[in-house]
Amino acid sequence: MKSIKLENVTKKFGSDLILNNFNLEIPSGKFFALLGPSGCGKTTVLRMIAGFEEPDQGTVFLGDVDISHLPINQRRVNTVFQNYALFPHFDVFDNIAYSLRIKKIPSIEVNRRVEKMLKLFGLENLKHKSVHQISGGQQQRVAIARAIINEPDVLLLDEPLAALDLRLRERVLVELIELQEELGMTFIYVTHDQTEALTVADQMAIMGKDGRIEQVGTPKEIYEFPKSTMVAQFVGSTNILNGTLELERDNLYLRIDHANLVLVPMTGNWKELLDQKKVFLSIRPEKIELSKTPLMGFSNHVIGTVSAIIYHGRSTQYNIALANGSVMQVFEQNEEHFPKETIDYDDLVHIYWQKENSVLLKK
Amino acid sequence: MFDELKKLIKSESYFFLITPAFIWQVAFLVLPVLFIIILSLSSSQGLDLVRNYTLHNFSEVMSMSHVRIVMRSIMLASCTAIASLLLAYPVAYFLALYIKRYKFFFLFLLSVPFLINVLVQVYAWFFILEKNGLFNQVLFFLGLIKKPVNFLNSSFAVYLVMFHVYLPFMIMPLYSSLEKIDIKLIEASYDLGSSFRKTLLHIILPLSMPGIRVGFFLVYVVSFGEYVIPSLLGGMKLFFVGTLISEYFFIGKDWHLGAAFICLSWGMLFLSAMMYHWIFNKIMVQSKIIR
Repeated sequence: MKSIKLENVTKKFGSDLILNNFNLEIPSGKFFALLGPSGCGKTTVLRMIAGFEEPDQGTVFLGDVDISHLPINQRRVNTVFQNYALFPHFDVFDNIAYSLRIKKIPSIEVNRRVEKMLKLFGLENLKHKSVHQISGGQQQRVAIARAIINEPDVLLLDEPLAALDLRLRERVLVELIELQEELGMTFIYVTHDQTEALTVADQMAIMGKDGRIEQVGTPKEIYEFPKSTMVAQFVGSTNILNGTLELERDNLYLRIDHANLVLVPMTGNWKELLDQKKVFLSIRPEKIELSKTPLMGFSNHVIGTVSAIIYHGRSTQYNIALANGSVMQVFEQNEEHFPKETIDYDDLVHIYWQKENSVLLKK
Repeated sequence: MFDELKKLIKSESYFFLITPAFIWQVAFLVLPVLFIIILSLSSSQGLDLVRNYTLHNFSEVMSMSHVRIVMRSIMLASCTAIASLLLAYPVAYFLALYIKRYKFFFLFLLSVPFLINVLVQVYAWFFILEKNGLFNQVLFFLGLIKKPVNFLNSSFAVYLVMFHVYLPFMIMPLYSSLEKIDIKLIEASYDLGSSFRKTLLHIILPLSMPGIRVGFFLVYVVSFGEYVIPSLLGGMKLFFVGTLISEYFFIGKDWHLGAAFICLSWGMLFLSAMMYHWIFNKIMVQSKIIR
């Protein structure tokens, strides 16, 4: 169980600059998720920790030790590969035993530890099956068992659920969380799927397209208090309003068009944003109240017409066109079979939200 | 997948797909083989086949000198196949797993020998190996020899040129089986603490075994019956299977003894190939055991 630190890491592939002066600290013993869009360099970060790539500049630390240029096979770091990379000529048992046998551990000890793994992952009946004969979910367990049997300091998971179907994915996520709690190992989980990252992570980092860390925090911090529009839009859905800030009688307003002012929370660095030409406001669609009749007790109110209704099952998404041409998304829980008020296309509706539930953003 | 295959075979409409190949094989493989077997068991008077089947031809062919010639061909084929395997493996390995750019250019370079007639290649070697040839000049320049040596008409020349001509036949199947190996498997092996040597031995070697087998037997079987190279470079006295068969059929004109000799060489080829098959199985089993 050790922490990982990347310090001022730069990595080029040919003339492509993948990471430029990249910094990231991953706490020890935590389930850490690295989330970013495809091609943002998150896999390169993972491969540098594993040792498949070496940084051109900068340092990778495992605990306090510089491992930037340590050979792969000498790092106490193991990887669960995206498509598992199980050895096709070995059976389940031999796959899991591989790293122990390479280390010349006596076969009695190997058997004992592999059997323990088989039991932990419920694979006892499959131990002499070829890896082609078992299901995708079972293959994934073999891949995890093979990676953790050597008790690495850090376990890297490279989009490990990509090849599984949705149902199985939800189950495996829960199993991974339990496994991490049981082992107390540092898990680093790389994914482009925000739901997976939010579900598993104790701590998570969002990487932007340019290969920089946008924000690090707990899933709740990231979701509720994003620090940029990129984070707000990449993790979950959100509405972004933009305009200029106006301070009036101790209240802070965002002018979204000539007719509408919106109350915004006076938190964080709002003072710096006062003289900005354009600032942004993020409001999550589920934090908005929608009604055909006026309601009381909300700090913000705008009017629009319904331009789209998308039924999701547990909720319905309404797209509301505002007078200034922008469109806001609203999620309404489908609490009743026969709602008192049905909202239809082209209905004029009132949109309400509390200012505390919105987040003021610089970019 | 197996069920689908069964279905495919059951549905007769697909059967016509294999008929051309089937007719071809019957006409040019099965029938000639039967013809050779009949020839080996019979004799003739004038131009007529005597339908009196005996093992007489075999008792005449089963002499020490004939067996020695077959053994010489087995030796030649083994050396050619093993030497080209050992040299081709690293080449195919680097081409398949390391070289990313210009891959097709290198593959094209490797296939250039296929574009040149074997006879042309052999005559090129004449100029290199003859008394005033390049080889002699280099050795003389290096001071390794004082007088020019005639390398032609020797088993050395035969072995050298066989190796050169058959090397590309080895590289291609090795390349194609090595290229199919998922690079992630090799990374996984390192990730799990394995060294290059152990990864090569326990992961890459067993996974490339199909290519090793194909390449080996391709070179082994073809060079066992090789005619052109031994007859042009081996001199008149050094007989191999191919040259002796042509001697029986075209010079000695004794087709019955020739056919019996062919059957003898088939048998020994089959036995030696089985031996190599067994060795490859052993290697496969051994490479899975990690010590």
